[in-house]
Amino acid sequence: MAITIPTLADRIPLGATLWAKNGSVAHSTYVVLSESSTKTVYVTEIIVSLASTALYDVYVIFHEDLSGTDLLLVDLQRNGTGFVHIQFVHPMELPQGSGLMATARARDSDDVATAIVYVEGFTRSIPCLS
Amino acid sequence: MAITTPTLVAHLPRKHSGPWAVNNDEDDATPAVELKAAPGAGKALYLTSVSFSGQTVDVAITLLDGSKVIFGPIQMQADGGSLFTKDWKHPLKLTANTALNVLATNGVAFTVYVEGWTCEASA
Repeated sequence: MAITIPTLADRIPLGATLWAKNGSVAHSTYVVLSESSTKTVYVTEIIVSLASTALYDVYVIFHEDLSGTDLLLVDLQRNGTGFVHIQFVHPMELPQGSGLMATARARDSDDVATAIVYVEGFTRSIPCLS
Repeated sequence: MAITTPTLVAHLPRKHSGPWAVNNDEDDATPAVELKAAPGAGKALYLTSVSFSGQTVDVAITLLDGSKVIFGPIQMQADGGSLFTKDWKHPLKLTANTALNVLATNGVAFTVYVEGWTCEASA
């Protein structure tokens, strides 16, 4: 995956709607829907875990649903800690109207795999940076 | 396991008791065991922090709102020296009058520590 440049906002604004999502992802699994074309999704925290005692390394790519643009890749080593925990000091802003998807794959084969994700963020009608 | 939507609240309700904490050096949480009892009618548990640590065997740990998954499973690798901590700046609210339970795979030992508050559920 090439170097990407996620957009960050400076703070959680007034009028934002908080949300959290928890569950498993495989191939292009929706984590957060955008709700409408006028709303903007922000991500403040991502936790990714192996789905079970791993027989192979797994990586998870988070991407936008509208353009398919990759945002973030998280790598889970089978002999590592089993999880990755990212807290955004400045929230990651998705393009207006875009939701967040994730795809998990086995590192060796690139076959679709399963991983557990927990994501926190907020949704707002007006982008923070506009 | 489908993606679910745990409930976050911006602030704790005005009426609350606590804070409380529970620590469990658990030998076996398969099936799930209770960490914090249901708080009673009109009240709910609000979580503000959780820590997991594995021991000698791989274990995946899940927090349950009664029987509903709200967090995890988070995988602790035996040879990874795993210690997981998460703080909720915006508390995670459980269903009214519902216990906090923990589930772990493989029937092996692990440690879980949770902090939270008991508040009115209607807020």
